[in-house]
Amino acid sequence: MGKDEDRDDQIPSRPSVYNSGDGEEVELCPALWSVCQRRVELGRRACASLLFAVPPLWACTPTGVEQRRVEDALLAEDGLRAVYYLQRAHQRGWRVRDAEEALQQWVRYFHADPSAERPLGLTFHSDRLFRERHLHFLGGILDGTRALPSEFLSLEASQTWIAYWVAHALDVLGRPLTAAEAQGIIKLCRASQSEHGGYGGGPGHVAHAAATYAAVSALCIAGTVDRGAHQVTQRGALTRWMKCDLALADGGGGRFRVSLNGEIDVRAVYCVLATASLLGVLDDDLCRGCVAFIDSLRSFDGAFGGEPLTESHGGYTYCAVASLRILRDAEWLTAAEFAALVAPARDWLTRRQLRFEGGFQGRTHKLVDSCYSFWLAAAARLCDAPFREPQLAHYILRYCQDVEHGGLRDKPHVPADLYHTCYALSGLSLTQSTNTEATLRPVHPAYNLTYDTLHANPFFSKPI
Amino acid sequence: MHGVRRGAQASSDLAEQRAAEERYIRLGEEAGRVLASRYADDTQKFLSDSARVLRENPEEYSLWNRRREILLEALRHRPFDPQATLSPLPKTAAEAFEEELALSAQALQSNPKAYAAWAHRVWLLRVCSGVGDHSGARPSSYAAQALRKELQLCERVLQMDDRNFLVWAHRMLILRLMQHAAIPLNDSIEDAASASVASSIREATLHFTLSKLLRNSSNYSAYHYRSVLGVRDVHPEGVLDLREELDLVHNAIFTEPNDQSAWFYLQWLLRECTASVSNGVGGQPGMSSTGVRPVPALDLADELNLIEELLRLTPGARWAVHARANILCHLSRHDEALTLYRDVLPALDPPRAGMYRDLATKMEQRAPSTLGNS
Repeated sequence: MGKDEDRDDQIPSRPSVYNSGDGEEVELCPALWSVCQRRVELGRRACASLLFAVPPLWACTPTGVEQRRVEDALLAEDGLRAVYYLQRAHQRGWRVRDAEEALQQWVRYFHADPSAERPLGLTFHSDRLFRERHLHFLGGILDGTRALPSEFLSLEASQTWIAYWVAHALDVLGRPLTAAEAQGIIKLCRASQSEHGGYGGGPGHVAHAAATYAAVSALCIAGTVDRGAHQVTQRGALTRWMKCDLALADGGGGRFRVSLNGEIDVRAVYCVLATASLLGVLDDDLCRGCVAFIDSLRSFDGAFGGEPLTESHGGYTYCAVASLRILRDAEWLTAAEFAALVAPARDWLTRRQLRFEGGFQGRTHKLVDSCYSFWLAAAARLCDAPFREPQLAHYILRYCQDVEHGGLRDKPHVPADLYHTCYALSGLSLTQSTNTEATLRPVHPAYNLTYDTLHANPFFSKPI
Repeated sequence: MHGVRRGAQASSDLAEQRAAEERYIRLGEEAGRVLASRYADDTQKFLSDSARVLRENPEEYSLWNRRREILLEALRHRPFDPQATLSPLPKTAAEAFEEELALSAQALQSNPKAYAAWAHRVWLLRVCSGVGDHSGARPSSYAAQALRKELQLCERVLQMDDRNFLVWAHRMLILRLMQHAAIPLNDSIEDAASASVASSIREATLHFTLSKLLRNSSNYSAYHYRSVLGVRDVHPEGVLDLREELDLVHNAIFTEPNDQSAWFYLQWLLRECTASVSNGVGGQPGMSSTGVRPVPALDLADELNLIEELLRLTPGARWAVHARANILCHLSRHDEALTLYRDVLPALDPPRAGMYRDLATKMEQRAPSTLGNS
């Protein structure tokens, strides 16, 4: 008793004002402040069964150290919110012991199922998507009115990707492109198209399967506003390029390079099949052999690596599974064959959603990342593997939004960027399948384009 | 790849953050200057300037590219001869390559996941081992040594981070290079015939992954690269002995019952050894496929007893309960398995409740019709 009272009277050595992020600043009483300072340790105790149990040998390796760091960052965030709500709930003085218990209840609640009872009966503010901030983050890029900072030079070979990330993020947020933005996409893609077929990552760049997939996808979105976008791609040249430059001549098909003399992996297969499907040029020549190649990528856990013999990974598993889905829609596979091919990956996919974080990791024992909210969740959706939508949404909304500048990020303490904004929002859209108050446009998991955009594509005739 | 500055962490110390930003800008400007001058006549200057940049930032891949171009020009399509002078460079091929290997190794010390640095090494090793030069000449002892040293480098980097998948994949690449160039793994193998090199490579991976797993039974990458070797009598070139693998896994699950790696591996072993030979599409986990013919060494009843023993020691170990359900399925004890999937596991492991109920539903849909078909 005496000890608690001592702590209650302790004068904090640092300012004890908490900024809720919603523009509200609250001064914390000393007892709450001292609890707040130990919130990570308290949170760890509250969520012990959900946190990753690091094998002793990993305590000092990157696997263990980085995982713990991420958990601590999330717990710190949770603790701040909990203390904020405690302060708002009760204006009286706090006993440290009660405050600790209440904080732990709150943190446990944050990670529990939606049906769990709210501690202290307080009305819980639902997690908000700061839509306007994100729109601001995405604005001025496609129409060139905003000068991008010099660090974007590192993405010089990924300009068609930038066009897609921005256009698709806006599409998911339900913000139609302006005519100038559509024109911006068209201009960039025209300048990046190779006369030999296919698109490079930017003007002057060698045609590349991934850059092409991005360009064609961006043009689909531009096409919802400016029908001229659908006429930009030289479909004949592109088809020839895929069949001559990318497809490997030996061994019965199914293997593609990402570019002339480029690497051979499952990304190339997916980009070729998806692009061809979006342009209505998918034929037997391209489909032949893909199933056998994809099957050769399977790891012992049922999921897929990028090349034969490599470990399973979420991004490559997405490419494998989405490719199989496109092949099924093109009637190259029956529904039963498709199901049999993807079923072995279900277990692994479901288990990639982390118990504490709520988001997905890309490989077993690795770190959560908001972009996997799309790659893994979409793969799970395609394989009919269950995942917990509310928990995924919580991860994205609570920890990955940059409220100050707009945009979404991989995880706390890294800056927001266009790539993560695109894929975190796409993943968030996937969590709204049963949500009647869905605020985001639904996306097709095999293409990561909205259904509206796909419907507006004159070349796309596959079942949706 | 994500376009995010790697290692950009918000530092609570503003001055520290500013210093880091300034250093980043300075490095970027220097990299830009060196990049702009990469086709100038003074190749020696470029090599020393770019080395300085690459040591700090190995991801400036255009600089690695230019360094390779310079070497290619000096090699002039001739087969690799370590003693030959690479004019206009004032060094022999061996000296030049050592320089490149040393530089990329330095770069990898601070950034063991720099794709461009690993790719540079693959290129160097391919060239010096004569892969693709069609000369038909035997690779030099320089090449053999370089490849063996590369395996040691992989080992060192994996000691720092045993889940670095780039290094695991790189190691496999090096082994395949050695196989392709018929370079034996150690000097004592006189006969470098391809077949014996190939099998010694499989043995090496067997040994390597085992050493990793004995040290840390949670090493998922090690299980993966072990699984690729295949089980003897199941896989045409399989070298894994089922009994030994089961022993390995059993040790792991008793030591760390909550670590998923060993359980995934056990599930794989059971599937491999119970899947029908004629079923080309691969069996579903937990389901016994038609025409079951287990490999003789696998005794499912034994496995079940073992799992149940583990559960007596650590009741509620959810992976063990799942494995028990899995084996009950293989033994056609569907009702018991169903109870576990539908009722016990969701209560034991709420975050995965959806998955277990899903498995239960799929079981119920299939159960009666799959029995008795052989």
